[in-house]
Amino acid sequence: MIKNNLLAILLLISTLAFAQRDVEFIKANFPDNKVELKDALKNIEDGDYYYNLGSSNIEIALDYYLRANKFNPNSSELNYKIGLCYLEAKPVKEGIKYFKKAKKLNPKVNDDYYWYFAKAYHLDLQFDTAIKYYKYYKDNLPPSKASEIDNIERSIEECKNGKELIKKPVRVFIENIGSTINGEYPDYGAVVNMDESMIFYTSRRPTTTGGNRNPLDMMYFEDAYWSIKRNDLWLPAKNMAKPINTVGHDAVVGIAPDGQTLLIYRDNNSGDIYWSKQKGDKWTKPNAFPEPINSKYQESSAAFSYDGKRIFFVSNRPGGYGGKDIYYCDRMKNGKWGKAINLGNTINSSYDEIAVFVQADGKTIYFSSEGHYGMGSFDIFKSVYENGKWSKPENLGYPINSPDPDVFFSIGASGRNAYFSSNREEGMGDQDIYKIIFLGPEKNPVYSTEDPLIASNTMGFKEADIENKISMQSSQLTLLKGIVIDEITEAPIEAKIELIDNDEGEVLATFNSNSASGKYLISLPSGHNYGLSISADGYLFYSANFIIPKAEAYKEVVKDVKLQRIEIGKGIALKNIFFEYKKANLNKESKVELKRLVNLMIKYPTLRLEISGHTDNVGDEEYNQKLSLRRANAVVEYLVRNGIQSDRLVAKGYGFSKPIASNDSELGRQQNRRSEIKVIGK
Amino acid sequence: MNKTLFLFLILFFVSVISSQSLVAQSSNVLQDTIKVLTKKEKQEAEKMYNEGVIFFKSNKYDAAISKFNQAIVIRAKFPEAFYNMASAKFAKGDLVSAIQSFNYAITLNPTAKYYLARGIAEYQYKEYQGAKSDFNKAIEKDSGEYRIDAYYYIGCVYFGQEKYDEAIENYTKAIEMDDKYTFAYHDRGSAYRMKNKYQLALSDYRKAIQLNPNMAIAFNNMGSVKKLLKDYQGALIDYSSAISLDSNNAIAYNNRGTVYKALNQTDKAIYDFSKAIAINPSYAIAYSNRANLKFSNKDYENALKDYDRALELDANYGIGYLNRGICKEMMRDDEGACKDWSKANALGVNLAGDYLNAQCK
Repeated sequence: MIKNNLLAILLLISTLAFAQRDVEFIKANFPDNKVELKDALKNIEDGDYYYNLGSSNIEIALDYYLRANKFNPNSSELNYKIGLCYLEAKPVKEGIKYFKKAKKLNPKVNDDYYWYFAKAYHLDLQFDTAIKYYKYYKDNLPPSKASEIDNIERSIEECKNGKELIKKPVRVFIENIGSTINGEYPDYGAVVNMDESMIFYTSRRPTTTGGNRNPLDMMYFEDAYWSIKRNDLWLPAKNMAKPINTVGHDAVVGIAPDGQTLLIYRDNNSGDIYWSKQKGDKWTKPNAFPEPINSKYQESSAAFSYDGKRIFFVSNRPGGYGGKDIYYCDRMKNGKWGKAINLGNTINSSYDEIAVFVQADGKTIYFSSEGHYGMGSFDIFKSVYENGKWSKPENLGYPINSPDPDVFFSIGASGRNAYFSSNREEGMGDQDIYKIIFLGPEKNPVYSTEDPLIASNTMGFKEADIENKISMQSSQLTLLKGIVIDEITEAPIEAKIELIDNDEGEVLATFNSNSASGKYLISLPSGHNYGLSISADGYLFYSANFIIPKAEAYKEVVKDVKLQRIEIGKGIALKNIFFEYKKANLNKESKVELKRLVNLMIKYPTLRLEISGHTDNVGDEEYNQKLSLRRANAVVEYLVRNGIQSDRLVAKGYGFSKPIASNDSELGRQQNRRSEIKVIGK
Repeated sequence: MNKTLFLFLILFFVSVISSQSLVAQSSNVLQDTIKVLTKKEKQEAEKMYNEGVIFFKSNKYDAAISKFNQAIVIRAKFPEAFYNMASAKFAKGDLVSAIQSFNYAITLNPTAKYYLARGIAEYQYKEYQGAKSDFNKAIEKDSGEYRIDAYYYIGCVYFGQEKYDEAIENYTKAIEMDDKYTFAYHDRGSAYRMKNKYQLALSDYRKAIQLNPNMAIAFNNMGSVKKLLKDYQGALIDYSSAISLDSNNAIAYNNRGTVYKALNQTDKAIYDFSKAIAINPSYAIAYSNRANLKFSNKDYENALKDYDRALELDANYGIGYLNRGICKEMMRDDEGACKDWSKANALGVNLAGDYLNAQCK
């Protein structure tokens, strides 16, 4: 059942396919459209005429054919002709479509069908398909066309070359040099001066001198044009006019390295090379090169070496390797040109070599050839003369070269830009001049990585290395407390307590002990030197000096104080009087205690005191006795200076005769170094 | 204020104790004489200092510096405050100022610790001679930890001077004194890498990882050595380890991206570069690398955006200019390309000089 259905569908498809039959342009097929048919036939006739003229005319032919095709799109022959036009007029892909339709309408469309069908794929860079159809064509070639085999094989070879060349495109930008130079007519053969500020080229446009067309191809005669560059743009090109241009063919073919001599092709004498020199802003009348440069054959292009002593030129004269070959002549000492020398078979192939150009280095030539390792039609090649011979011509590669003709290569002195002529789909019509910008070897962007190679730079300064917090005073507080009592009765005394900062010599605080209990309590920051003075009416004051060491934690110091009544014979140590080491100069820290002593004397005007100095046992006795006396005197002097009558005071120096502690320890010696007062009258 | 209150409370507490112990025998409730006394100006310095330490530990360096400064204003001879202020400046990257503060700290307290710290700051500032001299002082004054650190840092100084043999020698001394010195192993590995002794480098990096299995940078660097050895699979594993240890490891993402690129795994490479950028939006290198991939993909417009960003972030990134120039050339901006190559060349990228000669007027 399924099989039957499938068959039915296939039959339907094939019926539909055959429904598109080949419709010839004959009356029988258009009985009702005789006028239109006549027009269409006229279009085809015109199309054929222009097609046969070739080159730029093919676009005109295509236009006629397409008009006819509009009337009757199902003529195999017309579709085939349209396909042929597209091979030239582009785009080639359109051509392939028309070829396919032609074949579909009539499988026997034309004996050459596969040759052109293959060519279309060749031009479209579909090399494998092209090879397939070239081979098919070759394999089915009738014996009468055996002479074509070489051509077919060359095309297959070109496809193989093309396959390789497009695999590794050369790094260039190719740009149409723009509408100020190129137009819808053929523009080609550009040469530039050294700094690329001037361009000279050939065009076949209506402004040609005389305005005539060549009857052979119905295209305008070649004329030389030129332009200059402003702000990186070419100004609109101008015809070089007389004497360069004539009514016939005048084509630019080369320029001397100095930019002052132009080489011109004219079609006289089968085609000769002329030269013209620039004088000021004028060009001299072109002169033909003498033999052996020119000959009765065609010399079609030429180029000077950098020193002007050698001229390379193209000629189809006999004796070469086939078709047009490249020759050179050297200028002899007598100013004449020496004999023409063929560059040899490394350069010249059995096919045409044309459009020679010499680079400013004097040893590199560029030329176009249909032979060598080409990918179709003319390709541009390069060869370098080194060690006495020319290197194997190197194809400049895709996309400079294509299966279409790529010709008239010239390169600026910088070597960064070059110019050539080609007929490309993106062009402005027919051949155009293109600029090549060489990008040099591939520039690969560089990837950057980063490695933190030093651990400490990344992982940081150790936080633990900073200094830690300092324990605050609050946790280092020392509590000083005690009871102030009468020495004899031990009754609590409400005493005045003064706390002195001995470091600064100032009273930090004054307060009283409790009258009922005699107790006092004081908190002190640790780590300082304090003076303590306790006084009460009718009592000798008590003074103490103590350093509260830096305590790690809370600490209590108990200091009970027994005050002595002011009685003859009673005495106290003045613990807050300090002297300079081994001297009798009073330190400023002593000021508070001394003032206190002054106040005591003022308060009790009848009081008389003995002021005594005491030392430790370091040093000899006499020295110590004298020092202790001088120190006692220093105190007395202070009191006298502060208004105390000297007869109320007696200074005594006891040396180390009255120790109150052992002199064996530093602490004991410190206690022994003291000043004392003793009541000697009241 | 708080401190005063605190003091008051303590004293109150003390007074209660005293009334119990000393006055208990008396039937009368007696009030003791209590005098609160503080040496205010001296306390303030320490208070400021301690507040500074707290700020430092919470990475608030400016606040810390301000507090240490206040402490110093109150108490000029306060080496700890100078030292910590220097450390905070160092942490902020203000090296010149840090070194100045270390100078004061050292004048007040010339210890190995302080010399070491100043040496590190000088090393970071690339003042290598001063750094070396300080590290030697630290070695002279200490036989313990600071001495070992000083050897390590002398190694770092030599590394910075590209004297890799001497670096290796000093790292080795540090290791001999402390065979668990992870940083010294790690950095010695890096020095071996610079000497192209890749196997020794790998061995030291491995040792560092043994000692600290969380050391992401050691994994990263091991990956980079493997990349140099064209062991791309090994490199991928190591970079991935670095990333798994630290999911915000932009460097390892970027580096892994370059390996994926080398392996033509473009999608993964793009992901990694984008991830590095997401983690660190200021990561110029990653922008340039991502741009390179876009460039290779002929997405010139977007490549250019990334290159522009990279160079906005780092105006001295020579390779970035080189790459952007290549991109501009393909965008037919010859003038822009030449400008970029010229800049890259001026920044020491020789390749850009070659391009400049070949392509530019």
